[in-house]
Amino acid sequence: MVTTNFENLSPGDTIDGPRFEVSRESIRLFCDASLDYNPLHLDDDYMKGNFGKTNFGGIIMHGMNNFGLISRMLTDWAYPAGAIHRRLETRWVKPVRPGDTIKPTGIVKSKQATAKSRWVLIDVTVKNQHDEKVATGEAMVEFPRD
Amino acid sequence: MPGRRRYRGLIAPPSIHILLMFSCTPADDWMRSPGTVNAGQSWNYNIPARPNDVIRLEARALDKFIKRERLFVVHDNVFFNQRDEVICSGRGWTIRPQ
Repeated sequence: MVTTNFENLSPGDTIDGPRFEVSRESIRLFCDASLDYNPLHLDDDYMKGNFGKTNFGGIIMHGMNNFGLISRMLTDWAYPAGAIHRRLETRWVKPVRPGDTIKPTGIVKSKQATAKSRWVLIDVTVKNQHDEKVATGEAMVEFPRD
Repeated sequence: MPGRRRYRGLIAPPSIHILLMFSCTPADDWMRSPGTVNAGQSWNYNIPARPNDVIRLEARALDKFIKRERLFVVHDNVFFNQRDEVICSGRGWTIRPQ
């Protein structure tokens, strides 16, 4: 990943995130790390049931695993430039299952300088191996004046 | 590296709130209700957590609403350090079992 700086950034610039292979083991590890043992992520029998109109058809990855992967992409990009990951908003649009491979991408949407700092807005997308969006969102990174 | 100079020591990644959320809530918290689905999250990061910090969480459910026949709950969460400085704050939307 190329180290960047605020002056050189332009709308449309892309940020490549890490590819992540999802497995039952990776989901279980996330349960242990987060202490989130919701049966959505563990229990095949439980997931045979319906959730309102939705039937997931099997266990699903934690949405916050997606969030952490996006956050890693942003900090890997921002920290070497002395920038700060200040905000991340996400929506989960499609479930992620064991066997999926997901990858976040960022696209610089705009940048703005204020008296005391400089700000970059980034559109964020996570796609699976079928090029389907599984999460979308927006992030803000600050490039402090110092 | 500019970032190395900025922080003058080790910091936790911003996403540490993911790992702290359940450890800062009691075992009978509504978040742990089986079948609760995370629909979206929005987090703002103020100052980083550091080694030896003592972190606490203030969390509350703000509202609930029905959308597309699903019951959504809106909740907000603020993590503080031992000096009552805000580490990060977030708003979440979950779909709850009905």
